[in-house]
Amino acid sequence: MSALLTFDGVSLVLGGTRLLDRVDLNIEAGERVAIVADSGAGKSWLLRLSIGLARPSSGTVRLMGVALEEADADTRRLLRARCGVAMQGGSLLSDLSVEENMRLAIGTDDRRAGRRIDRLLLEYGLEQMAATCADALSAGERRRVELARAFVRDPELLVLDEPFEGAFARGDMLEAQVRRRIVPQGRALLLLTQDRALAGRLCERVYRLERGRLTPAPVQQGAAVTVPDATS
Amino acid sequence: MDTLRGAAKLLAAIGAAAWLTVRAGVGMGRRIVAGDALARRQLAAGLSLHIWRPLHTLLPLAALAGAIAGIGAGRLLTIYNAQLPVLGALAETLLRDIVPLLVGLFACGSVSVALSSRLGAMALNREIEALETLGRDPVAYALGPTLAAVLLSAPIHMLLAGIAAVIGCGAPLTLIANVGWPLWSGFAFSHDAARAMLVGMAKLLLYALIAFGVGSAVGAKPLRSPADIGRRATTAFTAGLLGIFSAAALWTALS
Repeated sequence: MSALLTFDGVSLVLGGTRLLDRVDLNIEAGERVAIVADSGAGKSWLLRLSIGLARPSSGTVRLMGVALEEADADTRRLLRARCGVAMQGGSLLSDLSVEENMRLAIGTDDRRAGRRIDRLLLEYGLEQMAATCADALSAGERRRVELARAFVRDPELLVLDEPFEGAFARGDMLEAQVRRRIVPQGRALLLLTQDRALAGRLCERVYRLERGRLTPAPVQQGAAVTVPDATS
Repeated sequence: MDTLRGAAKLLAAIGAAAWLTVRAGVGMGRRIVAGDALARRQLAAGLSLHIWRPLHTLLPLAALAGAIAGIGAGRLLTIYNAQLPVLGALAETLLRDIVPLLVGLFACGSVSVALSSRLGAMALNREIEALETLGRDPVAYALGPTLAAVLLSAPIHMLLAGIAAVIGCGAPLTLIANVGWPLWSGFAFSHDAARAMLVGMAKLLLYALIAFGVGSAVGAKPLRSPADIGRRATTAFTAGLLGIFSAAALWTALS
């Protein structure tokens, strides 16, 4: 198996604080890895580093085998386009409709893309909101759109930062949808969360990020990943 | 030492503006060629924002500027009966210098301020980062449609504002100096005036590019808080004014 994402001795120093300290991580194709950390521990920076939105102070990050620090901006964008990303705090373009946000991610205007978008919107309960402007959505609806958008390009690697934040009552439904899109299809996942139980339910390997260091954390008992019926 | 540092900063800002403008143009061109439906919709929204909406203000402003020039010329004609040189020079100055500068200032107020504020808001809402995350070039998506709309607006604004200024100028000329509309329109719509209008359009394209470049370069700077958006807009407006007046002075001196 080839590594989709590799952190090799990655350190990050911000404003005199060592946020990440020689972090090593390897995610192969089809592997699901969670990093559990408290708020402010550097999870979002891990996401930025993993897709080349930030440069490490030292060490190397490889995405799909390419060292991001050495790649030019266009190459980094091409690599990012092969990933599905949901950032904490939201990342929809507010002056575009839900469907346009999805089309922006998928990058084509053909009918097949349209059908794929329709199916994802239906799965996430957003079919009535395709034409709604993103800035008119509630926090929960925005989160659902972001999760649907993360899957629209059939990504090899998913990087989800607190994916169910703000989803409230629909959290369980969203978790089931995300699991159904990841587990049976053998997609790799890097889950960044504070929720250890969620990490245990979705991932095979769980690490704890504390004082900048990654340490393996035991997966919670009874939290083994179950594979639901695959209908994608 | 401070002067050197200031000159280096100015050069860096000009370089950033030029780089962003070229990248926005190339990126938008690629999107249009690729048949990007979103690019067409963004361009339509940009055309509405940058071409049609400003006309409500721009045309009265141009007519008033023409009226001011007409009052001055009318008073001159009551003292010196030199209609041929005064009316010819008035038509050319109006179309070659005054109207382009007026529309350029308007563009500075609307384009550079709007652009810097929009980029600031996008950065705070993490929309720039979102575009990067999706593997899209933020410059092509955030700046490309605006650049196309601004460039398309320049000749249309120049033509319509020029006509408004000529009409605005004609009224005081008739009232003060008894210059009839047929005589004034003969000067205002002559070959020389048409040439002056073309030069005015070229100037306005340059001013619009300056307004765009300044707005994008100022707006692309990192923000710390929402309050920075207002400060950036003021900076964009004053820097744009300085840029447009410098270009106007340089053009006049070299022509």
